[in-house]
Amino acid sequence: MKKKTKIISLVSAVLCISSIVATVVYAKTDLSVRNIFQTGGVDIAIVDENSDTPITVTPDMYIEQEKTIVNKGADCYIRAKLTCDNTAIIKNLDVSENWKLYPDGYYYYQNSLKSGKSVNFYNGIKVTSDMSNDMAGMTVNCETIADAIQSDNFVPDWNNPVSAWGNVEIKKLNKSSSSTVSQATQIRPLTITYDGNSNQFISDSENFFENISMLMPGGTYTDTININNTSSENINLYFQQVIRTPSALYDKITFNIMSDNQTVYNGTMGNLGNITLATVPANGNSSVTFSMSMANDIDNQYAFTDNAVEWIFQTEDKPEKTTSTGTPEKTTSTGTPEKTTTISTPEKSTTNGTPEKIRTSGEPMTTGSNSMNVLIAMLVLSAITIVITLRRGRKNEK
Amino acid sequence: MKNKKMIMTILFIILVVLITAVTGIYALFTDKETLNNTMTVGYNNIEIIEDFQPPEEIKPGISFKKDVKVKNTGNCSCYFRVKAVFTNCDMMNYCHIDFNNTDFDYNESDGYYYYKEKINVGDISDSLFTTVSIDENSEQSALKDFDILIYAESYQSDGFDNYSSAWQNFQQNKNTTV
Repeated sequence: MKKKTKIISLVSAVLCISSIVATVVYAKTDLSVRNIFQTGGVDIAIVDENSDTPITVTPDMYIEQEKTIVNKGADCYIRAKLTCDNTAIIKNLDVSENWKLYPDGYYYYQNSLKSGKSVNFYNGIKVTSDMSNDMAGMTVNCETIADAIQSDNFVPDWNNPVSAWGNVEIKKLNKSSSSTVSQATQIRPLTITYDGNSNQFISDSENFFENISMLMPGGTYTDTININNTSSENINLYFQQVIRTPSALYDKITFNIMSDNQTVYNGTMGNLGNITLATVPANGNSSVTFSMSMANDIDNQYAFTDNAVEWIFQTEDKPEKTTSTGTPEKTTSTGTPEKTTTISTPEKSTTNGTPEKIRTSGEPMTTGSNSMNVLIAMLVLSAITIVITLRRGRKNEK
Repeated sequence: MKNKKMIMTILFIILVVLITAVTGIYALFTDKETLNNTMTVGYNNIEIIEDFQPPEEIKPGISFKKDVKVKNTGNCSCYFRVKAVFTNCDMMNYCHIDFNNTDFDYNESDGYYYYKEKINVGDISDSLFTTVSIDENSEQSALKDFDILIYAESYQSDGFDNYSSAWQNFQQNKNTTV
């Protein structure tokens, strides 16, 4: 109760002060950039060059048949099995190296299959030698099933007695994995320069997500923007975010902005209005680090999507002396604007990104997540609290 | 009493949540693919193809055409063996048959002629023999009417490099019902 009233009084005080001072019009110079981030996805195919060739099987025969699994999407773990409607017909499957059979009937490939790579599942089928004459001429239908799950943020439980993947739901990807946006091959540092002469923002970054690899469930993706101020005055840098491709996906992404090591925003990715990013010192620079964390429960429909998010960077223009009484635009500053003015050379920022693609830094999701333990602890704590308050209530009754 | 009920319901709710939490509520990107293959179970079937021109009368010195071949009418390649059986054993002494010992291998112990090569689906083998001749030195009175019965058996060729190993396998598994 006490805290609430304190905040209210503080806010009202700020508003009062700003209204007294205001007799000027603030025009804002802005930089608007349409950024696109992509989600990755899992996409595999089973290849058998001779799948249409009719096969006649005789007892004890070794059928030379090859099945290859191709990875057309993100790095993934795979498992596969062969089932026939006549279960007795297959005696043995000549499976390739590095596949292990688990009690659930699946062969699990022991390594992660990298994007673009292929692996052989089996090279032949040994037919049973025990066949009765009434099977003569019979047609047998066999089906090869292959499942894949992303290897980012997922660790199979190889010691599980039943299934190395635990309790996962494998769904088919019902779309093409080909993307329309090409990914950058080199890391380019992100920079914004406020030019003191023109009072304009300049940036050669056309997409602030260009260094980020495809987003995968459970992953965290980070990059840093270096903001240079070549003018002789400190500037307040404001930020807005507008979602241009609306989707339920944004509710599953946590967006975090840190400015000079202080958290400026932390919440769901969505439309954001006027956040003060920093006060960039005159002839100095500020560093803004943003990160996106994708939840680990994302449906396949959000795989291989292009998502557009517009970022608008603004600052006040130099005030013109007018007598019009315009109320100043509300600013919600969450950080203290005091900065020491450091004299640094106003050239483009030095590389602060690593020379390889920024990969996910999310905690790998094991089959039994740690986040669940936190939830359980919270529930137990709230239960205890409820019990205690009830007991107190009972005591008071007495 | 009311408080007890509340505590129990709260604990029940927590238990339900715990169960769902333990089973793992997460959905990562996945894909599933299937590929179908059909197989037909093979079977052996052979047919004896015969070109037979029986003589009007059996006389010493005559010969007549009896061309015996085997055709594979099954759906997979096979080996075969064939036997020629006389209905009248005595007549064997007065007959001469031009058995094909090039393409066939005669086994004295069982009386079968084993075809050395496998025959593919739809193919016809070489002739076992083509002509039957009656010995010209035989006595007319000794000659009787007779038949030559042709009896053939086949065995799958898949899994065997040659006819010997195939028929050896047959011998080993003879007692199992096929």
